[in-house]
Amino acid sequence: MSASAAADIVVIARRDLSRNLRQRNQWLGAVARPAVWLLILGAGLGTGRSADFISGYSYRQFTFPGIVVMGILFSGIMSGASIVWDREFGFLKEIRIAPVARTSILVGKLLAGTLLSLLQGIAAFLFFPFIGIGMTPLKIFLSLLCMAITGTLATSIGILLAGFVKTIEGFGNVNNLLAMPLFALSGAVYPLSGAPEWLKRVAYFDPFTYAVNLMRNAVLDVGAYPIADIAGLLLLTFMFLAAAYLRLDL
Amino acid sequence: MIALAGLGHSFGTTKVLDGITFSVRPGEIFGLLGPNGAGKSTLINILITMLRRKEGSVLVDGFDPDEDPDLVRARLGVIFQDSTLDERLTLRENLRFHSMLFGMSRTDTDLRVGESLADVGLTDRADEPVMRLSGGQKRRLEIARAVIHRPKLLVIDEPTTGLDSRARKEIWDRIKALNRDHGATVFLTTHYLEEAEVCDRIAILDRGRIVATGSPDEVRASGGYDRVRIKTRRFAEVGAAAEMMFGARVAPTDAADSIELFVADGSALIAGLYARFGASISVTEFRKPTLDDAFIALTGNLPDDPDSGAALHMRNLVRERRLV
Repeated sequence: MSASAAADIVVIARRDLSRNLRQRNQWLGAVARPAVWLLILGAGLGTGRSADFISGYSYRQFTFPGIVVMGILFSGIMSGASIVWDREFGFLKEIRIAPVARTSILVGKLLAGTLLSLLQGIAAFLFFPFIGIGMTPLKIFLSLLCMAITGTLATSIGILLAGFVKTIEGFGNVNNLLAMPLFALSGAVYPLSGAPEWLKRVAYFDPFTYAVNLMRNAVLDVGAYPIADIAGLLLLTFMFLAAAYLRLDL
Repeated sequence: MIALAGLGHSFGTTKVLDGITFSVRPGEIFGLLGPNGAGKSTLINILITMLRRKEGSVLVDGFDPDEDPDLVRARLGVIFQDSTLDERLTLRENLRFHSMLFGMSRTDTDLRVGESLADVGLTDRADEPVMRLSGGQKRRLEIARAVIHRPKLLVIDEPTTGLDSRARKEIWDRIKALNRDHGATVFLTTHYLEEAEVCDRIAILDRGRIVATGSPDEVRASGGYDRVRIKTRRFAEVGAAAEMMFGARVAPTDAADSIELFVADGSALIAGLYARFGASISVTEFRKPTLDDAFIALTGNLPDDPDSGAALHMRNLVRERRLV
């Protein structure tokens, strides 16, 4: 990658970051959503049976990694909306007439989307002291790594979607029709081990099932390092990006 | 600066550009005129590397937009019809983003962003988000942005659509200044025919074909007819003579004692008729064709300009009908 391509990527990513970070209400949402899940729903749902949770952890603790993934998943997928937005308000043309490689635009968008989703993940992650999860530097490092992997995956899905969904309203549906089911299937808020067989089979095809699993391994000291899952998620991310490159009108 | 030869394009089976051949000389202001749907946008999109052409050849400053898009883009400043500013970013951020993507150094960027903002009188708004600007101010900012990297060729799609007349004049003064001071070649589309008068040369595009090119004077002469209104009681005789001797087209008027004659050379017609009919006729109106007339004659379309005589006339007719 040439120095100028790197500079282009930074310029593109920085614009997305600065225009998004200026939205104060987004920060409120980033903190409010995990708070609702962990403090309110966690309290309510935790009263049910707990046989299938990982032993030694409360429901809140069990679901905590999934809530971190939730913030990243929704934020990453919605980053595609920024491309749709740019297209609708004309700014995409301003980018397209610049002497910049399309790969730089794509990578710039990926970088910005991933960093923004990472911030959402971190906002949720910072609740760990309130639900009694101990942290070590290694756990924090592994958690950030998982968040980054999940963030690039979710963002690449969002970017690819921008090639198919042409209106902002349409992207609102993506939330309900895609992001929500992906989250619900992932086993973020219930243990898949106790789920009916058909649900397990569908969840098997949800990449975020593996992301939640990775996150749980990192946060809850399960002690496993599913390298194959990581490789699978990275490969999938790359495939989504390649498809986006072919499909998008960048 | 631009050389088009046999340029053709189609969407599906619909041919939108057909055998387009013309060139734009370095340093001139060139206007492309045409009714809606004539193919202006398609032609611009091909020029600015947004669309790959189907036929013919295109060179922009010696480079083919399809072969070397980045080289062409680096030479271009483009102003689209609709705003392409990021409304949430500040003026300064919009200009910086553009400058950096066009490969300007940090020092150059800082220097020219300041200069450009001063140039369009927006220095005191530099750190406000663009969404607070008026339509005219946004347009000025877009022009400043499009030339900040010193493009050789400025492509402007409908520079003044949607602006009031004061803002339109301001924009035009700026375009002329850019052309004069930076020597930038300007290629623009417009449907305001009086704006076409400012151009050094124009081309009229109709249903995908070029139907006229030349200076505004040349195009005016090639398309329209002189209009002569004559007051006479002997209109049958006068009309017949004008038709026979000068090939004029005769049209009745709303006044019973007047006729209108359309002819290539109005002066010769008037001289001939006076010689023959003397004091029994009087010329009450003699009008050279306007660009509007030429446009209508060449394209069979009324220009879209809301201020133009022909459009006004048509609207009045429609209004009258509605009243009845």
